[in-house]
Amino acid sequence: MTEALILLSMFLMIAIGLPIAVAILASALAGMWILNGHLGFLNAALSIYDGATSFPLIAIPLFILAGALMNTGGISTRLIAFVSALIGFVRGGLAMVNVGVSMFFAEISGSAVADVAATGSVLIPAMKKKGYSPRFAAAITSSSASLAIIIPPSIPMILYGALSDTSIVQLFVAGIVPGVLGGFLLMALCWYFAVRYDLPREERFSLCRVWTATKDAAWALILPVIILGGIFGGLVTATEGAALAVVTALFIGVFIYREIDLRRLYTAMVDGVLQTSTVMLLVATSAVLGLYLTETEMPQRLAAGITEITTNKIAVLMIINVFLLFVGMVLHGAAAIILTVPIFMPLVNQLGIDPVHFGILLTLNIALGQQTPPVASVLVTACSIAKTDVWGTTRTNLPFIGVLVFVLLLVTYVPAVPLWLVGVFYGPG
Amino acid sequence: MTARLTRLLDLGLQVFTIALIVVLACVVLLGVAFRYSGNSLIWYDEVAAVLLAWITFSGAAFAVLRNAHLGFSGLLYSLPPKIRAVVFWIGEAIFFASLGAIGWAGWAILDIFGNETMTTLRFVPRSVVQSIIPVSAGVMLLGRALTLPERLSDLRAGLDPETREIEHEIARAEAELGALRKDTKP
Repeated sequence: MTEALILLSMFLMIAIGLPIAVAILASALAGMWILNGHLGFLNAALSIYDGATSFPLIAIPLFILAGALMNTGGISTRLIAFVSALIGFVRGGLAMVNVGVSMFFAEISGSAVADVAATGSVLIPAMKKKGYSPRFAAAITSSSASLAIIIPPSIPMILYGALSDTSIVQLFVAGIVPGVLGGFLLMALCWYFAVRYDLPREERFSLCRVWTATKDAAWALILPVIILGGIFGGLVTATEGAALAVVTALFIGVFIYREIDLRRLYTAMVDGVLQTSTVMLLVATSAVLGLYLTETEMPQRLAAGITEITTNKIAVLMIINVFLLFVGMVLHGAAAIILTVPIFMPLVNQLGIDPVHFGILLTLNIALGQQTPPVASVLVTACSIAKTDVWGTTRTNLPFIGVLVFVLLLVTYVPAVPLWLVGVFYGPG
Repeated sequence: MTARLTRLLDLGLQVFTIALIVVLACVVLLGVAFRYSGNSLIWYDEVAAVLLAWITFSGAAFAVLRNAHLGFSGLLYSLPPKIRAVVFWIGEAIFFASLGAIGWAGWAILDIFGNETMTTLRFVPRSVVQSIIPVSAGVMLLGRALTLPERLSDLRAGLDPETREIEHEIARAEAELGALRKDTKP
């Protein structure tokens, strides 16, 4: 009962506008005080420090920094030109370009808001100019940016991997098939709407244009190959791959494209610091909450309660999906992962669900949460750029959300979809 | 005076945290290079983890000063002005109480460490490494107090920070795009 009140108080504090990390800390401190008096505070101080020292999490500031360097280094605009040359000739091409760019960009920076602002501010006005409705432009930009979080490298996956002690590299590999599949399904839906509403083609296909755009974007395209090749090939760990990403992005921005001057570089780093520390403080404070939950054995009791109702994996995964969908509607992605992983992991382990499988399912739920108001920062940003309303855009967005739900259900009930490639790379688990 | 202190603190935290991230990137790259040369650095993991903790807490203090921590202010700003003000002050009280408590506890545990040092770098006391908790908690409290007048005025004017952040990101992306177009104009 006390634990439920503590968790309820945390949600109340989030609702009244307190920073989520502080709400987590305050409720965890209250719980620790009830359990152990002032000694509970001393344990909390040790725990909050330890929470911020998990080695795999070192990848987060480095990937965020690399993403900030990419955002300010001219990489996004070149990717748009490249994808546009490649698929812009298809009917509704610009909408497909939007999906393609998101798949390439793959939310490396950890801030979907910054990424949507970077790519959306180029693509949404262009789409409106070509006759796409502002709601449609905002909806496809938002959905494709959210889908991108399951394509590696992905900050939510790093967070989940570190919190659940799951291989981050295997999570990255597992995200590829559902991510690419979801991307193609979004493109197919764009094509369907393009035919139905007679949306325009970008321009005629030209090999010459493709060649020029490829040459121009070559370095931007090589970046993920170097990073992911190094990680998947076992040459570097995910953390070391992130450091490699920083060096490569810096090299491309400064020496190849020459678009990062010192002022821009500094601004990019300041952004990186803010994004890193806000996510990492959440991780650190959740360690205190985790300590409290462990002492009260609440996750174990929850697991026992659910398994008393059913031990059917499919039913349990459905319950988790519904719960995560609700959490995603009211919490930011990182906060949702941090709060739910310690609660659900005992249940996942007890039922023998593959933690890599569960990680992809969780990440997809986070992607869905970014599309569902009231807390839907990615959707809200896209709507602001398109100068359209959130609820109206949500209605237009429903078919695209449907694609995300379809991929989620596929991942949930056909584990081979995320795990097949993991088996190919690392052998059957 | 307050504005000057805020600016100085902002700049100090920016420079300090960015320096830590640069050092972290260098340490990780050094770790890889030495591993491939067959001489793995024994202190690599521990130092990198300590750097991450310092980045977390000094960056968190910086984010308090910039009012950049993740939160959901939509409900607060939809309340009638009088209730909004009461709820705002309740939130502030919780913020100060929690950070005050963790700062005190962080300070109290420093004594417990005694002569303990880091495992791989025997000359670095644990108490120095862990002092980031009370120090950053103190800076966060100072930062929250310094930004109070501005947040209060935003609250009275009904300016939601989330809307502000989105407007800021879009304005920045558009400015960057404008600069890029200018640079690439033939």
